[in-house]
Amino acid sequence: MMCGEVRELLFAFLDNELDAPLSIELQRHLDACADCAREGEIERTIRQRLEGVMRKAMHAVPDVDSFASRLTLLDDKPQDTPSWKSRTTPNRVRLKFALAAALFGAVTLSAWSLKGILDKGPQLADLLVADLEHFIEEGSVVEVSSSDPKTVTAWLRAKTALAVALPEIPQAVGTLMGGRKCTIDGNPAAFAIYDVNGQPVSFVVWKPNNASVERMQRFNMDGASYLFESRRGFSVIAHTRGDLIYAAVSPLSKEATLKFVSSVPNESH
Amino acid sequence: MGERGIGLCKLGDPALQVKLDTFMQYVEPRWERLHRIAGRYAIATGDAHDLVQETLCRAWRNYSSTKEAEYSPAWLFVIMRNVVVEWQRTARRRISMVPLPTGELTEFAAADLTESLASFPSLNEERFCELLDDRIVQAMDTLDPSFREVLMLSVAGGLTYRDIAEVVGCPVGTVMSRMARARRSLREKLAEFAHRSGWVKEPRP
Repeated sequence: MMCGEVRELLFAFLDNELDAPLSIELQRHLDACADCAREGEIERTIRQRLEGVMRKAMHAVPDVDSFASRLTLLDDKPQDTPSWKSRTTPNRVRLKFALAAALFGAVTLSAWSLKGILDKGPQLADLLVADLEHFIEEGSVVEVSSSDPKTVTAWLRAKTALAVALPEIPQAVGTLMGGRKCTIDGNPAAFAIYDVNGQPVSFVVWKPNNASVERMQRFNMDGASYLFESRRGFSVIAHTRGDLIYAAVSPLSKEATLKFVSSVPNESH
Repeated sequence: MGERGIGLCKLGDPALQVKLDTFMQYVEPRWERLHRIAGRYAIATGDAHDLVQETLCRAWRNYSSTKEAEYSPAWLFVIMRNVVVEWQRTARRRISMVPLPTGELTEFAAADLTESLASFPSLNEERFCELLDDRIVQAMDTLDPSFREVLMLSVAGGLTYRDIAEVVGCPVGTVMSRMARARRSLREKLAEFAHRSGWVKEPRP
């Protein structure tokens, strides 16, 4: 084997990609040719240092077992891989809350029977938590994607015919991501979603129907009356204003969730 | 293995448990390499994590435990590359390395790979390694994207040439050619730096 041939095959040899006969022949040349042997050593060193530097530069790798447990929250039915485009058609945005749902210790929707609950009469907190869980499990898809409260409010009012008002939340506290129309307790509802340090907070407005609040605790603050319940790791706060209910659901504390309901401006009509 | 999917046990879905177990058997040996490669494709750490998660979510959705034997060693990396291409096209993430479509590579016809490799000034081993550690990643980042990609998949991902060929969608011979050109180019950049920086020959004792 000539030196030129060795140079052509050197990298594949060092990467163990040559078949045995060729490897043996190349090694024989390296054993006999000091120049080519030096080149081989230099290249071997370059590769090793590159591997080491890349390993050091790597960000912290999360635990694989915690990922495994979160997989169970995804739709397990094989389906065509959705194209990125289909998930990001205009005015739709995919949020990253699907994996955050695992942190709430929630039982998956498929294991929780709405029928059993409805037979006894729907509990408000159950309906609201189920709505947020469903939103996350379906891929956190919104129908209007905007961080501007005026834009989202206008859209929600148009779609639900409700006098929706969204909370005045500073950017430092949370970011409005968008909204969608949904159904709560059999009635059309306005749903807005916020991102608070990676945690989802839903804000829902609808006209009440049959849902029961008997389990919720009542409390007063600043002259206004609120309802609170902690359900499956979520804080649920509700407040009646006129003929509408405003409610917030989040994995945050009661106080943090309350901010979303208590900061709705009075001029909502 | 039974420790995983505790939530599934409560749901009592044995088929889903089997799917999870076999899927994680496939994923686990590739877990760290996926993160290493993602860290090279994506600029921000958060994006790299998202890239891995998106890759594995797509893989999970399409995984069938009955077809376990059909998934090649490079399957996850193929999916990851597809995600990278999509993200770059929609500009939804900052991508540091954009894979080139195969059709654009005609200009990269193999150079004469029998030519001598760029020479380094004579350096003792310690100084040589210092040079490498300081400059090697920077040198790699200035490589042509198609060359950089195969080198990254090999070094960071530990993929074989056959796996790399499957990931980037080209023949193994093209991978060999790109790999050789990547390493030559890398060496030229390092040698150039070594000469410019005055890493001179050690005086004889």
